[in-house]
Amino acid sequence: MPAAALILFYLLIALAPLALAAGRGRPPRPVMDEIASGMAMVAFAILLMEFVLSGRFRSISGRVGLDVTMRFHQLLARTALVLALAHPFLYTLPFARPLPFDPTRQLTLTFAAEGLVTGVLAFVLLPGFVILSIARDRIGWRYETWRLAHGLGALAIAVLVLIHARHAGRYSADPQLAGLWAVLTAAAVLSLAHVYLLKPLLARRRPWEVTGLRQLAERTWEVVLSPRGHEGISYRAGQFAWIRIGAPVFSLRENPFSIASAPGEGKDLRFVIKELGDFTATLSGIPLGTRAHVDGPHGNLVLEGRQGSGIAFIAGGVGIAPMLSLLRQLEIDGDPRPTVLVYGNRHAGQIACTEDLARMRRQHRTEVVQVLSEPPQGWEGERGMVDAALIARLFTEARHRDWLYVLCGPAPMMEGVEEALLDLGVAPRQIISERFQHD
Amino acid sequence: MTERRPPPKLPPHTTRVRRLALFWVLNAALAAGILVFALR
Ligand SMILES: Cc1cc2nc3c(=O)[nH]c(=O)nc-3n(C[C@H](O)[C@H](O)[C@H](O)COP(=O)(O)OP(=O)(O)OC[C@H]3O[C@@H](n4cnc5c(N)ncnc54)[C@H](O)[C@@H]3O)c2cc1C
Repeated sequence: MPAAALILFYLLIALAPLALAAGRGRPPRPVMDEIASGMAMVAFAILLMEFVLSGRFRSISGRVGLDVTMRFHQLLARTALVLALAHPFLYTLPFARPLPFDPTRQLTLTFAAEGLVTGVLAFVLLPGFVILSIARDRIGWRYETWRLAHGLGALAIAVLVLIHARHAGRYSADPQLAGLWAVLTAAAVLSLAHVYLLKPLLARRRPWEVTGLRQLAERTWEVVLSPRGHEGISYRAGQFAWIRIGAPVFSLRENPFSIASAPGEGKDLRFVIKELGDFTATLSGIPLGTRAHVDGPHGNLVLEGRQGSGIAFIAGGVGIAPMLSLLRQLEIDGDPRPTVLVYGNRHAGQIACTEDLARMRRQHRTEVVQVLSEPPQGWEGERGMVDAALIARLFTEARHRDWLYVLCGPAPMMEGVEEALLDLGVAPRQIISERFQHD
Repeated sequence: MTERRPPPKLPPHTTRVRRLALFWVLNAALAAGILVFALR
């Protein structure tokens, strides 16, 4: 299983420094000192791997999904933080200049200025950096500013730690371990270069153009991009892309959006976008013909390789976007399985893509269940939220047990629905989802 | 006739717990690695 292999590979790299350090066969120091050094080395390996786990590598997020990749990135940062912050306090040996009769530094800790200064700096910067990341939505920075600070800050900390390890560590100056740090640091720098230099350069050679723009519902727009001078991208229904509209290729104004069109419809990409913040709020004023760039496809909210005797799509708000793609492709393929679309909104003015919904009902016999929490008078659909009670009512039959459930919408909705489905006896692997917000 | 008991309810936030479990397994493996290294 590729996901399990990825996790094993991760463990292997995180523990590799310890194996290399132990391999030198030095005499052991007190256990606490060895634990401290071990923690520091694992923390550094995790820190360097965070660059690769940043969500832009298809080989990773395409296998386990962007949600899982980002969650691991966030959680492992906490592990690295704890290990890094705790390690200096565990040493028992005294700081001193090297003793002539102790060439392997079994009796003292290194007292070199380069090692100490960089260590102290990283020690102060790292917690601040992690807090800034956890509190991203609360500090009021623009997302682009935050992203730049996050990339550069992480690089600065990595360089400090590299110098610190080289000068203060007992093991890190050994050729093998120094070699491993060099390789991991290079991988970290290359992944930044890949995202911020290589991808933009490649994107410049494959331009797109805005060829369609219309309002679909309150604060919700449809944007169509067409490839110019190339064949477009080959994607699977349900995937997403990072798009940049009317901004230079090297700018950080790049946002992820689900592709709402289906691969079988042609080369044009259609997006359904909700106005939310600074980029999305400018959409309405974008002239047709504006240059755009597309990085994708990404993500694994796809039906390929998954089983289910029927498929339920459960969307909240703009979470409808990937569902349109998935349902349209099933329609094009003439897939015989029954489909249900549960689509929740607050009020009727927010319901987007009514023509698509009507066509699905008519041509693909999709059962469309509309849910409004503030329904108008005479509303014939469901009332309330897309919550556990509704799910329990809609999917009670035994045949629903082995259906596939595709979820996309606000986090509380997805969590509630997921719990409800598990309660009904649906197996976890039959539930797939994508988050639009990684907080 | 004996009454059929409803299936046991899963505790709340099962999905989140399930996802975190993998994280803790990973942490445990890292901690074990560090201990093996220190006690070698
Ligand atoms: C996989 C995925 C698919 C998505 N699909 C859709 C979709 O089909 N339709 C839709 O309307 N929205 C979608 N979103 C959400 C969309 O990306 C954000 O709403 C949009 O980026 C907000 O940008 P802004 O500049 O208008 O808002 P801002 O005020 O700049 O940002 C608001 C929040 O959006 C998120 N965000 C902003 N920029 C980025 C970025 N470059 N990368 C990641 N997150 C960012 C951050 O959480 C930020 O706090 C998707 C998100 C993800 C992760």
